[in-house]
Amino acid sequence: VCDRSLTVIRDIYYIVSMQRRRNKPHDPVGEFETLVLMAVLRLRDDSYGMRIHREIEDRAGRRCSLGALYTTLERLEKKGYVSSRVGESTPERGGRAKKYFKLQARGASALREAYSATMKMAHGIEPLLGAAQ
Amino acid sequence: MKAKSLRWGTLIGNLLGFSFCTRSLVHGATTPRELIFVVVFSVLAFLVINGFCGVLIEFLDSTRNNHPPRWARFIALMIPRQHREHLLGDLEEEFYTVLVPEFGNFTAKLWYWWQVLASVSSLFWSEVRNVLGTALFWRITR
Repeated sequence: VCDRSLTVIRDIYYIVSMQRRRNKPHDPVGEFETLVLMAVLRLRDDSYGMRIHREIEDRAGRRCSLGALYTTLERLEKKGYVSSRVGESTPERGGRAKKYFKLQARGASALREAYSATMKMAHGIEPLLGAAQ
Repeated sequence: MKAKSLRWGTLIGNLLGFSFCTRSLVHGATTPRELIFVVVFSVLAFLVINGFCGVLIEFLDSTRNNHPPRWARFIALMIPRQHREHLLGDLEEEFYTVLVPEFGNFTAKLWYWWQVLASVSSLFWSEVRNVLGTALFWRITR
């Protein structure tokens, strides 16, 4: 009886979580995810792993490994924020193909929300920051 | 040639050293369990130390060739298959087009090692976490 009730609870939890996920417009994005989405948006047609990595390092000064970047991109793809396509391979890549990423409408909406929340919170904070120092 | 002779020298030196230590330890072992422990430990230590020597020698010889380190490529096999091809392609592109011409072989190889180790650790542990989380979920709810 205990096993069966636990199985029923698990199934109900699964159905409810799936339904909630479907009803929700999008999950909130974290700080690093926001940086990645911005880099993908900036690079447009040339957004593949190393270019995104360089863009984040150059502009945000944030150091990260390529592995962490690919994990984040995979998570964003699962959420439906970016889509990917396999591109051409070049000799300097050892014949390996590039993977290009493109921002989707859901991703753009999530990014806009994160950006506007940051801007609202940052409004008028400059003098306070100066005073805190 | 220099690296090859160094490699053989290290291998033979390690082999002699470990066989000498193992022989004295085997004589000191009193139970079969101790004997097995001594032999297994010696073999493992020999493999690990030779691996480190190989990496060191490859670094010492790094001015001669401008290819990504062989051992780093081998370790990169631990990266999950769905990311491996694109990630290694990105690393090689950066290695050949930016790092070797601008910073030289040694720095380029150091960078390659760092990227491979950091990528393997982050991707490998995220996979391990997923598997452990799923296993724990099924264990609790079963």
